[in-house]
Amino acid sequence: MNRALVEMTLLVAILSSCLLLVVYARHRQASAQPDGGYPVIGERGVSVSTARAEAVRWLMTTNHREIGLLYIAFGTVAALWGGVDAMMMRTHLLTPAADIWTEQTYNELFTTHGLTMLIFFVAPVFFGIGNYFLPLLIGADDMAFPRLNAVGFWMLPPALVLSRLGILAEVTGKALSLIVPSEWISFLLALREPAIGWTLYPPLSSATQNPQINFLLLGLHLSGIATTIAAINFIVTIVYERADDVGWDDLDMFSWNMLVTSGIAMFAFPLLGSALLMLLFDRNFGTTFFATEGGSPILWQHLFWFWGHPEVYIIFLPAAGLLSHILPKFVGRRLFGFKFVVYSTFAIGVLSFGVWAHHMFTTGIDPRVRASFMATSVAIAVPSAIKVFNWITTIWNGNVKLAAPTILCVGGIGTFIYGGITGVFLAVIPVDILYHDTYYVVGHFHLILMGIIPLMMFAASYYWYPVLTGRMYDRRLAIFQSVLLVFGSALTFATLVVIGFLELPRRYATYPPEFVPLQVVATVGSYLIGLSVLLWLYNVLWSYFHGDPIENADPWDLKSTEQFTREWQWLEDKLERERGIEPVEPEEVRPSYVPPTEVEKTFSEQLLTVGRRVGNNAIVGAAGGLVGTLLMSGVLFAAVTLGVFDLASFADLAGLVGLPATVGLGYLIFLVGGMTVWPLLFLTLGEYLPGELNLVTGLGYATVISTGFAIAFYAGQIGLELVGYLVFTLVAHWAYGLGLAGTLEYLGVYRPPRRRSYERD
Amino acid sequence: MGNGAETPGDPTETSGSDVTGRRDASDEPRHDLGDHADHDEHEHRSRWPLVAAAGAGGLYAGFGVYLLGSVADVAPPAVGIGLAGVGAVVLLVGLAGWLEQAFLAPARAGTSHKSRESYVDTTVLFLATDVSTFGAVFVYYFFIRVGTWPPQELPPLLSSLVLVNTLVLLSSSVTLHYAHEALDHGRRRRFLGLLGTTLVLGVLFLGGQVYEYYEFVVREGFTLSSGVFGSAFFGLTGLHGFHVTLGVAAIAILCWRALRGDYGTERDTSVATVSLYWHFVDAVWLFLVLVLYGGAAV
Ligand code: HEM
Ligand SMILES: [Cu+2]
Repeated sequence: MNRALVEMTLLVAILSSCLLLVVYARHRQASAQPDGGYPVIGERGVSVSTARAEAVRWLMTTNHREIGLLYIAFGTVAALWGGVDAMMMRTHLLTPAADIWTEQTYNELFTTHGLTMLIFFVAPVFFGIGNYFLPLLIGADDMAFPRLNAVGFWMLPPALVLSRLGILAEVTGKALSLIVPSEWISFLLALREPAIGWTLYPPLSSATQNPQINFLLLGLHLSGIATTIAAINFIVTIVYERADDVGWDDLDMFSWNMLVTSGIAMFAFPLLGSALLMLLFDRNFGTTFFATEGGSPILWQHLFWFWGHPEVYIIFLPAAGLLSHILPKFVGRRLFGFKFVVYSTFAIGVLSFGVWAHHMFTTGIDPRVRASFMATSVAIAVPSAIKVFNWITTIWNGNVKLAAPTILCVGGIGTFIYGGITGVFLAVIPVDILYHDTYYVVGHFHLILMGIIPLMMFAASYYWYPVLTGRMYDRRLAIFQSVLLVFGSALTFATLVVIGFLELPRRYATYPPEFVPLQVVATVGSYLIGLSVLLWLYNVLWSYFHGDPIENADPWDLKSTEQFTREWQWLEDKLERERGIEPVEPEEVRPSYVPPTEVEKTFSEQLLTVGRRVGNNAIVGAAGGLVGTLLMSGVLFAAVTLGVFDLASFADLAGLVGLPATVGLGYLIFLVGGMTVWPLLFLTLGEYLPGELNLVTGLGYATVISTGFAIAFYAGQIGLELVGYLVFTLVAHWAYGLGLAGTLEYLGVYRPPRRRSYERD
Repeated sequence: MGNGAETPGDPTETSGSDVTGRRDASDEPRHDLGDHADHDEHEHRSRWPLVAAAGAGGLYAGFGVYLLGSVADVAPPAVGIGLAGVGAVVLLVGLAGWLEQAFLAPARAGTSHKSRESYVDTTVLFLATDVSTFGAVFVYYFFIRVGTWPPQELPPLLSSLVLVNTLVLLSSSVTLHYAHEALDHGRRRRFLGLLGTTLVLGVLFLGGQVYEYYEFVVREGFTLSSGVFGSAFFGLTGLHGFHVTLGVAAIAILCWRALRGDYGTERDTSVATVSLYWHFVDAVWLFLVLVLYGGAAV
């Protein structure tokens, strides 16, 4: 089977099915009209003149929302194209030998897949979402430079065509060679999809003859210009076009992230652009930029990753922004620690330029350089972790609603944690030397690239579907699709991490037969992803014509938690204007956030308050701790009599802190610890985590700390003794937890610091 | 594309239910008009972006086809050059149309609603991206300067030509600065004179560069592909020369508009942005002379 033909057939089949679906849906809609069933939105007759007017409108528009839709459509096509590459790759890997397609084909597939997805799918879709919604969110009339905006968009299609001219030329050539002599079309047949890896490392990329590589470099350069233009436009829009009542403090999370993303893109892409042209010159004009005798291939890697690592954040940050924006709407709580999420975004923006060499740990660069890049790479996990904790805390104690965006958000957080943690390990030089260029790396980055980025795009498409179309999508299908997607991604890429643990190198078309089962699992997972994408396409296209028209501008009940943001306000005005739908008011408002009613205080007053708080906490905590520890001692005493707990452990404890190793002293330390460290930790957690401190939290807390105790006081018990030891440890801690929490509750101290009034009445 | 038959601003063609309404229009509900009617429709349509992008696509494709011809020898290079040339012209036309429609016409009519500050800051952002663009090539030069140095092919770099050229570019920055001052003080003739001088100096600089290239390439046989230093030298001076060319074109436009009397004390946005660009290019040149000419010679 010829790869190019298979791929283009698949792609064209998907695209034309979409078209057919649209035509059919529209037809059905037209015929459903007479019975008065559907209020018709967006109905247009099809005639030559209207078609012409439509074409003119879409080709010449400078309206930010229309350009946004164009971006999204373009990005979706690119995603499908890159997705077909991916599906073919996974299919290829079903068998250990290269017998479905050739090795060469496999190499082509992973090259074009990577480039298409990273360059032509992700950023365009996010820029599309940004184009549509960012001006609405900040109350701007349009982007700062509407025409420039259009220029930036329209450079992308030629860039994509140039980049993927190899396969287009091949298929065209094949078709034409049926009717014209092949020497006429030799230039078409000279082009082949490149097979040099998406990272385009020289000397392979400079020595390979294939002239398509020139077109690829040119196409990428053109797309880089487009990205830079868009980035500048976003920055100027956010800085200068905000409505008068949108100050920096009111800027929403998505816009913050787009701002930082654009800032990164603005520095990263021009540098890539120069590097691409330098490579082009090396290939064609005898320069030595990346030749061994000149700048060396290592220079390419430096330049490439100086763009490449920031690029991963360019595409991750908008996803993070969407998550931070959407998640609160579905849990009815304001984003926890808003400010810190913004700071973390800036921290990522800055740090992302300081970690690039972690992609080059195995190239033999200076060990001192490596060590410093290891440090920065580990550090960059911190701001990402801040985001994760804030997201989780936002959900905590919220009023979680089951909807497709919720599933996608929660799933996205989960896979992001997995992807991020595998990344931190890779940042550690010895680990990376083992796993570099194995499937582990592929698993790592896909858990992020697949595990959160498209998820957030889907979440946004569902969340804003009513704004985009005035209708609601099929919710049941969407929930199914979301679950399938999350499951498919986790299955596929977690399996790849496992394959990587077994140290199978990546980028090979063949592999040892013992990997077949795992590879098959990964392929099945990827098919699930593919299926869910098709379901999404079906849902959004079909619902555009047949979804239930929304009855008011608040389909998500945002007003009732005071999260009715500007884009919905815009929709409300529009509905009122066009369909005469009156704004609705919720029956009951449950604020998503009650600002603390603290009055301004001087520093010394604040110090005093804090001091008093700590003092109070310490006293009450000590009381609770005393009760808890005494209860715990009772249980432990029983354990001692049964012989599963060794009193000598107390003596060890005393010895550990440098006192004479007697049981009495050890017990005293134990008691003091139980009255200070652990109650205070408990109270602190209660202070900073949302939610109530009560008997249940006490039990949970005690369960967690019992694991530490079990390890620390272990005295070599085995068999039944060990079981008894563990059971008694746990029970003793429960006694402690109940005692502690019960006392605190009895004394009535811990009301959470900002108790939400609505929850009590 | 670019054919004048469509009136880009015809609201009746595009009304309908896919409304492109805006928040600020919300206080006056209109059901029948769509809400294009309550906005400057011409703001939502323009053919120039498409023209410019198509031109850019043609330019790039032409370059690719040219390489296809010259390297893989399957198509005559002239085809590529032709395509690139057409693309470049279309690109320029598109850019000109866009400039006229987006900036010049509103500026003339006094309907520009954007602040001068936002244009200046946009220019600063653009220059920041340019730092990156130059950065990559400079990094190459630093790599070889600390690496395989000295190369075989070092030509005589420091000559009176470089000195003269540097002085020319420096003084063009000075004249442009004082031209702007003169404009601020409403001294039109002085403004015009200094602006014209700047243009002449810019062209002189370019002439100097061409002359230097001629000397190196023809007399010394030192070319782009001569070796590690050739790449750095022609890469950096070429990139810089390209920027100067753009700058000269921009200053030429300034001159033309100045002659038409488009500028005044309060209307100097494009003078301010072009100055910024020109000073930047000047600063890059100084750095370049220092590290490339100076740094290689020592
Ligand atoms: C927690 C923060 C992260 C750390 C510490 C980290 C660390 C690393 C390291 C050390 C590598 C190199 C592995 C190797 O090739 O040997 C790597 C590869 C990669 N990472 Fe991450 N990463 C992080 C987050 C991300 C994010 C957010 C993305 C994407 C959105 C991402 C995408 C990638 C990609 C695409 C590659 C592979 C590039 C290639 O060789 O083809 N990483 N990561
Ligand atoms: Cu990285």
